[in-house]
Amino acid sequence: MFEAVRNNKRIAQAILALISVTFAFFGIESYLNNNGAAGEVATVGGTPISAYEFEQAVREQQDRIRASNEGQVDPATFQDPLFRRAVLDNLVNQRLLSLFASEHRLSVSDEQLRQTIAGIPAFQEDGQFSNARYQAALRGQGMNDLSFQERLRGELAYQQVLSAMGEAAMVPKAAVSRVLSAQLEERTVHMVRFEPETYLKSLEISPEAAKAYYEANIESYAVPARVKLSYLVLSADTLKSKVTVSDDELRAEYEQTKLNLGSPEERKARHILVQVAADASEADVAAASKKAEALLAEIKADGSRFEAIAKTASDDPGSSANGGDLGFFGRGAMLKPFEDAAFSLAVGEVSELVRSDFGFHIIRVDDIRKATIPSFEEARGQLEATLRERAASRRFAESAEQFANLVYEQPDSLEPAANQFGLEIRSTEDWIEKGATTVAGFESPALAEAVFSQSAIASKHNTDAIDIGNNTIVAARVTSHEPAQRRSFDEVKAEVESQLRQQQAAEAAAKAGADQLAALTKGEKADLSWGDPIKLQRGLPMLPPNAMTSVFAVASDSLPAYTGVSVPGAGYALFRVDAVKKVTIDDKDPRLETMTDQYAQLMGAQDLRAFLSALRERYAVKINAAALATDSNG
Amino acid sequence: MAVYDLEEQEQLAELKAWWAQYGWMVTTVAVIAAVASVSWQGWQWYQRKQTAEAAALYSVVQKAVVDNDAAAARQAAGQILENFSGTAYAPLAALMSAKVQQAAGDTGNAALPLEWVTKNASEPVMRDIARLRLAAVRLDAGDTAAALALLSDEPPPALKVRHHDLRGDALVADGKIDDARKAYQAALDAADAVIVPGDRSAEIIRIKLEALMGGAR
Repeated sequence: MFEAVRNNKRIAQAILALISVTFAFFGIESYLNNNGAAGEVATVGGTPISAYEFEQAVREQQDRIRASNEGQVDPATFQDPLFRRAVLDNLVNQRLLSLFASEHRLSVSDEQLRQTIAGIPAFQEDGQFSNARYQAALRGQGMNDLSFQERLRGELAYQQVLSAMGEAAMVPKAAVSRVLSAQLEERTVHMVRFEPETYLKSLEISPEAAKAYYEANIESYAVPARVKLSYLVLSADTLKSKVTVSDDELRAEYEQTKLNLGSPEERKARHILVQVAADASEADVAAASKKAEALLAEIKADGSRFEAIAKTASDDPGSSANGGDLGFFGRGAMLKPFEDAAFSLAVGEVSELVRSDFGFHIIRVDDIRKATIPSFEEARGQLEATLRERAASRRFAESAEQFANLVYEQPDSLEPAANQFGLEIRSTEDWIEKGATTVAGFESPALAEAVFSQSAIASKHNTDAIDIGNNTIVAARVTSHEPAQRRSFDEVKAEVESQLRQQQAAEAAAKAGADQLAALTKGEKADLSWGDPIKLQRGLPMLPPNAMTSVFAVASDSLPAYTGVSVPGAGYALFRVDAVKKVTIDDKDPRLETMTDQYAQLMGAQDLRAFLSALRERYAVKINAAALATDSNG
Repeated sequence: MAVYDLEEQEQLAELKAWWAQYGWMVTTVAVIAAVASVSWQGWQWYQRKQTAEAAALYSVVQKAVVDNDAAAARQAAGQILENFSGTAYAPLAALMSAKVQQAAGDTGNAALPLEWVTKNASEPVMRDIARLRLAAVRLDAGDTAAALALLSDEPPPALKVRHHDLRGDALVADGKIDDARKAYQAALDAADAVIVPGDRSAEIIRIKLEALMGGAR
């Protein structure tokens, strides 16, 4: 068949035409498979969210939270898996909106981009856009002009969807004014408390009742099993002081890594962009190339005109006003073709045309900051710490298995392992109760389970060496053990009686209150010592939520009205509602507007969630749970 | 010519026969594919051009919403609906414009774009959301029956809270307090079924429900 193709040009051409037609339909990308690369935290509709992107979003969110709490944030908040999950959900949602935006070709014009940048307060000085501020702010974020604009463009595109779906909900005016008037309604109430204490003394607890209560709750009166331990800890940290680092090793490491120790080379460049999309038609590319050639010719004729031409002709909105200046940047900040060109030019030299995804660039390098490299003596301290840590963790990896074998093979003592690795046998002073998850200061359910295992308690064997994370393993043995003990009725009689008495008194108080309420509702008179009047507003809770609810939920058509709530463990509160002051809301009341906005925002958030969940059905979302859990420093 | 050996001659003959029989088909398919490809790309170009123009108008709508300028929003959104109704900007602009019109108290002009979305949006969820927003506008206009009619269908799960909450509002307006209570309770049940951190919608619905219990109207 191959021969046939070679000899029959017409058929071959027809087949080639077919192949190129499929490219026209599906694009080349669909032929390149991009299967779940390592370091992906999630994929949304087939597009990856990288671990780098995720960690950066985590850092940004941490910064935002710190900024809004003035630095007073419990670090545990950021360790919480829920925090990381929330950051990821947010990234996924943004990605869903972006996919929707690009599927529907939503776009952002250069003009809109320029206006948005000019309107960002962080880039302004005295209320005016300042290019110096702008460049400095970007550098502070480790971004350059092009990458920032690209990012902003993406955000503005999905903002177009977000505002329509999530910020344009409306709520009925009548509903808003009902909520507001309910919030402002004032009820004057008197209260009588029925306290358990009143009923304590008159209660008789029969021995049978106490016994029955004890039987029903027998487990809660038991003392759990408990142990004391001796244990060994082997960790990379404890090995750090036991490894040595030679001068030769330090020098070798210095030679190998010195380029990374200092700051890398940075270049200051200007450019002129003739924009043409990466997927533009050949005619468009040719036109852009021709235009760029003309500009290049002008610059070659008179190099001093570069800035002026950048100002008038460059399509890069961020840099053109500044004569094309991009400031200093290192490797990795710019697109690859741009970087290759910029880092191969000499100072003052003008590049030929450089094609990137944005279009054609003409680049001139204005300044070069050479890479700085610290001397061996300057770097020594840092190198030694690094090497020591590396050696310790290598030693730890080698030792861990041997350690595990030793404690397993000689199960009746920890001493062989202690001697072998020069470790100290430590012991716990306090009892460790069964069910605790922290053992000897280590939070480890596996260790807690091991020390209460049959072999640890009955056979008095060492536990296995247990990995408790963070390059640390622990082996323990039980030195004392007390089994779980049920306490006899006589032992706990006083405790049982007092608890039962308290419980019955609370029940009696609640019953008395409820009976009283029933009588009052029927219209019977009651001799009660009502307290002072209290003015309550639903919007300003002064009582527990269930009491507020019951006071405001009682029908107010005939006053006084009665209501009450039982307070768990604390008896009963009976209320007499004497007066209800309803508030009529004027249409012009400014509070209506505030309430409308808040209410509409909440409803908009619901709409947006509904929209996002529809997008989740369209673009498959896959979360890589393992990558999500890995902390950047763990 | 003479270099072909017998086997090659044979192959060539077979191939010629095959071409004589199927050649027209191959050619037709290739031509159809080429025409389809060219029209597809033309269509793509046309779509890109349309959305770019709609995008410019949409940024006018966005700005008008920020400035609370109902007339400007209505005009720009109107142009999108008239000239670029096939783009994704059409439903987005309609939803945005409706919000400003309602805020300006113009229920008539708030309802029109929402009606358009309920009928024409290609995304079912956008139609559902527009229906809810339209119900709120109808209530403001005093048309309780129309609002209730919009809320008669079972909502998709993610919009249950919104749906029952609005049904409660409509039933209060209709004087059916017992039914309104049930609707608010259904909204609260739906909110409790899916806990969203930081979402306080349930508090508002609970206040409306409790206010009804207290006999307030």
